[in-house]
Amino acid sequence: MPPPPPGPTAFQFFRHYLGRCIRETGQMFDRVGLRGEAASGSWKSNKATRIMSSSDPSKIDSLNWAAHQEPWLFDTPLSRHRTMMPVFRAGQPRISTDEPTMSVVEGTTPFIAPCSTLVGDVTVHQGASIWYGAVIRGDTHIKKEKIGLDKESDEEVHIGVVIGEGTNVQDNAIISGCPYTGLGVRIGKGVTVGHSASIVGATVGDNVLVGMGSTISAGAVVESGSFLAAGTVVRGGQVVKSGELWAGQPARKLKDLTEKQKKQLFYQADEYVKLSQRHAHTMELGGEEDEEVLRMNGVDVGDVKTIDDGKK
Amino acid sequence: MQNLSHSLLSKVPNTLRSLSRQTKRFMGGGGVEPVGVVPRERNVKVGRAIKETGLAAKVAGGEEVFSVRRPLMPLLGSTPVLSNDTFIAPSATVIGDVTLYDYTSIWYSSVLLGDYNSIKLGGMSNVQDRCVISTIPKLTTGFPSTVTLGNYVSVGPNSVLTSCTIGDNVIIGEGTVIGSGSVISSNVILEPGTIVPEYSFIPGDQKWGGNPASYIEDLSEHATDDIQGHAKQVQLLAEDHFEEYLPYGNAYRHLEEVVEGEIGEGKV
Repeated sequence: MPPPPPGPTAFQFFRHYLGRCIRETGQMFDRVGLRGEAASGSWKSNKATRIMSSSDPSKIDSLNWAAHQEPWLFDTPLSRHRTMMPVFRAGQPRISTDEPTMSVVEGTTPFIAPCSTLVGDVTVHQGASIWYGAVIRGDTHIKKEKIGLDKESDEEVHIGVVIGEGTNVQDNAIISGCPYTGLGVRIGKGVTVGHSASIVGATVGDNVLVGMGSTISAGAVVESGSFLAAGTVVRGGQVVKSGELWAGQPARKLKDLTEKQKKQLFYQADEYVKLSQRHAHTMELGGEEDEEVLRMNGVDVGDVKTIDDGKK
Repeated sequence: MQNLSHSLLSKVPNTLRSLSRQTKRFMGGGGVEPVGVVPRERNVKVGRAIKETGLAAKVAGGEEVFSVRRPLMPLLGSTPVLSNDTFIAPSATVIGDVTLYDYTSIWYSSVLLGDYNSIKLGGMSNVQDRCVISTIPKLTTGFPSTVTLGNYVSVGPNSVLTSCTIGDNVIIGEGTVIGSGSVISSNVILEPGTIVPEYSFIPGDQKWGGNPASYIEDLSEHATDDIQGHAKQVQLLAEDHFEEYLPYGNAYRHLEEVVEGEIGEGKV
């Protein structure tokens, strides 16, 4: 296990809270300004609404969102969800730049779906894919003595979440550190975490297949090359040995995997690396190949490009 | 002009459909309406019909690209009530008649749906990631089909709770399903993956688990303190997350930036 990163210093604390104060004060002034603008009726001259009254109707595209809103702009129901969110005390999600060791992963990028959530100290290695609606939280903290680092001090450290290379975390899955015990999550290479599975404070080895809706509780260990059937509930303290098939609630061993089945564990993760690359390219709107797809579906590619440029 | 007329024409069927649907609903064409709530429902329907028609006419030129989902949403006149220190994740959804007491936290992607009846979360309780708490219209026992969680209740990730009553100091493991009409007493621990069938009762000071839920063991005297400690730890974590968000959203500034970009390029 790599040593956990050091926590924020006193100066960083000071800077963080000072910045927060300034931001809140600024937002207050902003709101006062918007209220005043709305009261005087001049909100109609707002830039967003000016587009609506533009003489050229072809310019009225998706931006007319502002037109059917209330004048209180700070009350916007625009979603505040961010895919990657830092937590000050724990750190921020990051994509590892380590050289990949798996042949499938070479030349790929991690795919992180826009509606998934990565919070706190989460490390995503090359070729990993986080699918739609998944929640990954690495914000828990644990006393140093509990992990055998520093027996003298009472300090707390963060052990975040590590997603190994070529691992796929499928839709609606939850991976989080255990909020009660503070244990982090380590997931090895080429693991498939099925739909709606939840892994809380557990360690998972390489090339494991975690079936759909499975639950792995805090303190459990799943060793490399094992298979958890759909709906398995592994309790804390249970150890799933290498090359075994487990199922049920509470989980128990069903049988050993054959050589053929062990090979299939590799196949699944490899396919997901390829599939994730296709999704990653589609998310970057405006790619040449994707423009064709959009045209075929009747989307005006020109509009899409404009919005993309505007964001920059 | 050609462009606008084209897009307008393409939207006309949608608008008409919405109009006819609203009219049908208003005239009471779709099923039997419950007795007690007719006036309010009807008011809401009229307002909704007008709003939707206006909206359809206004967005006829294009489509929304921004996600306008909100963490807090009023439904049929009842708005969620929460305290100043409640943490609601931006991707969580709290709808309708929901009351959240002090120090509660609703974590990422969970859904609290107070549509048929009310939901109440006691102090220091937390609903962790991707939980669903919802209500059903009516219980066969005749008791109100509300969801009531006491103080110091930790609902683990991926759990589903429908119309149940839960006492104080309870830990609900991850992936637990609690059926409607169930009553869970105070000082209870439910193992991960427990399935509590409908209309079941779990007595206090015990640990239950399995599918269907069965008795495992009695809890020790110190269990209550541990359960409360766990709930407090989650609350401390929630405070860390709470600090990351300003009191109001800044998303509209992003919209302004997009618009300014458009103007800067001379497209307007």
